[in-house]
Amino acid sequence: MKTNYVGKSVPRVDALEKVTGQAIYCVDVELPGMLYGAVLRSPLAHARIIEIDKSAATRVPGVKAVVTGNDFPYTFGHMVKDQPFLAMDKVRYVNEPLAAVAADTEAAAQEAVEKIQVKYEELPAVFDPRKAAATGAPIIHENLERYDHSSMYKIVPGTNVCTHMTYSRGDVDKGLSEADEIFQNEFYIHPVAHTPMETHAAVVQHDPSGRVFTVWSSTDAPYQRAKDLANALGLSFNQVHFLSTYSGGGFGGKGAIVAEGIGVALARFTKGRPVKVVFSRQEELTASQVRLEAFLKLKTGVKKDGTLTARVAEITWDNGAYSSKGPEVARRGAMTIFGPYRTPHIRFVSQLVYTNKQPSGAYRGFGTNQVTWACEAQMDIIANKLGINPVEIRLKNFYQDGDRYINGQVMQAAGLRETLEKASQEIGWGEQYSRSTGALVRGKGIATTIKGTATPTDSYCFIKVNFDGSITVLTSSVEIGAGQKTVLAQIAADSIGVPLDSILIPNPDTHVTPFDFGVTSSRTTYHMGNAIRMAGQKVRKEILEIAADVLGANPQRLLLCEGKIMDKDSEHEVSLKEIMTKKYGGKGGTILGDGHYTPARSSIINAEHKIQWMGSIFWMWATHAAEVEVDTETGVVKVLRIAAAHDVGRAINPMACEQQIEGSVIMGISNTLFEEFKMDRGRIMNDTFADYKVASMLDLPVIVPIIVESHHSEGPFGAKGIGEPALSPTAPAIANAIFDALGIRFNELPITREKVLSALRERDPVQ
Amino acid sequence: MNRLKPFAYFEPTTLPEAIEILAAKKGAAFPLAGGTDLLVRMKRGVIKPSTIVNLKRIEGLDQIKKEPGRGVRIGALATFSAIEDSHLLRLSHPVIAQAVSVLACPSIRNLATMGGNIGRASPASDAAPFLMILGATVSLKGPQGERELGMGEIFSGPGTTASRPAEAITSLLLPDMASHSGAAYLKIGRREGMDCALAGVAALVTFSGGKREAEDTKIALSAVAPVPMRAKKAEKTILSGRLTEKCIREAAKVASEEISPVSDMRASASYRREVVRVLTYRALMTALQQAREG
Repeated sequence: MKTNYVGKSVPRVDALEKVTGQAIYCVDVELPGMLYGAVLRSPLAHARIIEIDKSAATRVPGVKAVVTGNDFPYTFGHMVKDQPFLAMDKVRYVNEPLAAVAADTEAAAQEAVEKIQVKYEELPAVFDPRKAAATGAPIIHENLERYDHSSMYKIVPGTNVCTHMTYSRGDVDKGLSEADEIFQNEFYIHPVAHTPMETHAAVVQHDPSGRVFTVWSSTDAPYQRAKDLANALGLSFNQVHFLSTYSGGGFGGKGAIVAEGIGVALARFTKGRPVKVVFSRQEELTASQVRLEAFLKLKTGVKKDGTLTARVAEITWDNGAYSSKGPEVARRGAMTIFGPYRTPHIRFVSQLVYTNKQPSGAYRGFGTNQVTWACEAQMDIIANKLGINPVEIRLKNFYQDGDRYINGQVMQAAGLRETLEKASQEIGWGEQYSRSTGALVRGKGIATTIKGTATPTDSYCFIKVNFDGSITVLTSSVEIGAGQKTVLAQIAADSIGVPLDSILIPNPDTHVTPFDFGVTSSRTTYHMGNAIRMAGQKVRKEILEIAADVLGANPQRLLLCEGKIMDKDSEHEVSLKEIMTKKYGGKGGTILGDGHYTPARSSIINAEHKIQWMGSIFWMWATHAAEVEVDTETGVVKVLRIAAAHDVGRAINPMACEQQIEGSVIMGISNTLFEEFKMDRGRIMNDTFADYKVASMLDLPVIVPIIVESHHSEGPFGAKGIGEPALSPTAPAIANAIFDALGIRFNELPITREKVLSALRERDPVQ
Repeated sequence: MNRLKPFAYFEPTTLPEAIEILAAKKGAAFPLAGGTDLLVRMKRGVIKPSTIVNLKRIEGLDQIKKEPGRGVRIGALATFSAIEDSHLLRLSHPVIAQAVSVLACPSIRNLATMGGNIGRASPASDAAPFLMILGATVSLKGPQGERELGMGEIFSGPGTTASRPAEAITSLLLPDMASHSGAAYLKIGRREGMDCALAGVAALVTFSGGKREAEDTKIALSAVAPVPMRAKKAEKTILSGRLTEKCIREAAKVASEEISPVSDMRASASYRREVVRVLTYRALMTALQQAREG
């Protein structure tokens, strides 16, 4: 189908309002009578709260409410309902919110917070999930079995094991017995912060008469957050009203109730006055959520020619003190630890364990970073030991169209091979090059990834054709910063046949815009794109019928293109605006089309009974190839070049895809080489950007984004997704390149300068 | 959000006025220059000054000018951007622009001042090493009048200087560099852009005439001792002989042995020690190359 916008790198539809400073982010929201919130946070990692004395705080001038867990005794949890809005009888991590203050000014709120007196009885704490899972560890949640949770998750009462899952397919013992070599390796991947430009923030207003909480938030899934809050407070869904603002970055970090919870607890006591809560960077780094730390063991049987015969995985994930999306990360992440490889016999054990640390949650990739780190490093270990080219061993085992996934789903693997071929070609894989100059040594590495999307999930939308021919698209997909509005507007414009600039997509409002699962799991272009395409086709049909009526023409012979209706026979052209005016006259009217997309009935996800949920309506494939230069005297790793090839199905907006790839590679370099929390008894010591180091511009290489288009049969215009898979291959590609340079394998992230030098010195002591 | 605690604030327009306020507050007052470090530490609650004396309204404290026969004088309130961009300094002391280009980041260099950097007395100062090898002197003015201190005397401990109560740093004097000399500053952080030095090394090599003998070699180190320091033992190994590659290697080793680095969350002492050896070698080799060409 010919498109006017889809497939083109049109500029962002929200670019002008953003660069001119007019876009409203959550921190910009100002309301009449608004109060400011501040939070008292725990100095201890694990302690019983004996007493909270808030009397001095309430006397600070300007203070309107001082709220503790006893005042607002509710708990929330998207997957396991284990988290109090404000700590009640215990604190379970350093900087857990204990009490909050709303006051006329930020200064008064802060002053009052400092005047709240708390008596604690310190309890033994545990920070390593492996130790926390062992018998005799201090128990973090004594009443774990009493928490509401989905039956999908198996809780282990009386322990710190939040969820436990095992799965197997085939017969791993048989598979291992068929192998010529068995590889057993252990890997570690560290927690990292999302570091969005905009920290967590919320403005909340409680209307006491209607019992409605209105929440302004830059969360990534307003429906999920509103549902969780309503569930926590015993309210109906329409009593929690989310108004999405623009978002200053999410990366998964805005996928939980964070500042919203503090705002709700305060707003309940401010007699209708709105309360604004904005996290400082320290709060963002220490008390929002982080990527799940994971310890991974992989045992793999391989034939001499590199054919995989069996793989067994054991993963221990750190949930932190409370469950955000940890239970689902531990489940979906574990499933893809076998990589994009046909493996006849597999088994995995995945356990998610509470520790006395900041909660873990979604982080761009949703578990894929962790498992890809282990899988792709081990593929390199295997290739090296067997003397097989790392590109060849991957090609040999890659899924082919028609192969079955671990739940029996038939794979659509087109695009996978091409990402490997293009990325390795771009990096000059196999070519001769100068490998060392003095202390500097170069190397190249590759890594591939597989990422599915949460399936099945639904998206709904309405398209309103207004009486003047302008279009409003009502959707709950937020603009998280990745270009959602632009891509969805492109799809709408081409589905209806109108100019891009006639389309407006307001920010979501859960009282108005219909359900969407959320801007997560790289799902928006595909799911909401499909819903918009359906709604667009409906309104297009209705427009043509109205036009036929107005013009006295045959609707079959009319075309709608760029907002103009053309009669194929007479070539007579009328604008949509004229048609609408003629139809509705001066009184006005609306053409309304709805769209609902669900993959639930697609044959693509057919799988074995009861384990269909493991599958995915589309699979995203990617290969990153890295070239690095290591200074063997200082340990400095300089990434020179990264070629990143991604099968996106179809690039609705190639520039936006490239931006996602480039941004992910930067994030990947950052958390591979620099980012790291330094902890002291549960306290994060580097709680500012002065010491929590993200990659700077001077650390960045040449990034070559490569778009592969395999055209998904059910995607809107063939599109799949791109947001998450672009990150996970970066770390193993860099580590594999470092191995190629030095012959030293790093199985633990991050690979800091000091670690590299220390490993070099261990091998080659200085003379 | 962090907020600043209440404090008294003064904006004197003359130096005597500023000194008078500082003296009246008996050490409880902090002078404010660029504020890039002071305000951050105030917000964090690391320091709680009751009085801030903003020096930025005092005219003439940000000048960079030649003092014929003596060298170049840099006003205490000259920003690092102004220093980096100074045509005069690029010609007279090229190492300064090179060193300042790795100090923090452009936006901080637009605010941070030379006087503030010295007054902060950070063990990890990126400015102190090059000032030390260039033989800079610091001018101070206080109730008892003006005096000068050498870079070797100005720091009394981590975060503290030898300045007396109510004394303010007014300028630094950089003697002209000798001909046939070269200098370099190298640092390592946890990443390339904007980081506190894990170790910083400045080296200066001056040849006597056209000979290959080093007339003067200076090495100064940052972030590896309680205060920025000269590596005097390492310097001595060079003075005793011709400046060969072997000799430089030996000097680098000596430098790495005469430091007293700490292990903290940024780096271990052993990493700092190892890196000092490598950077000292590299800085001396670069300085030597420049001196040969100069």
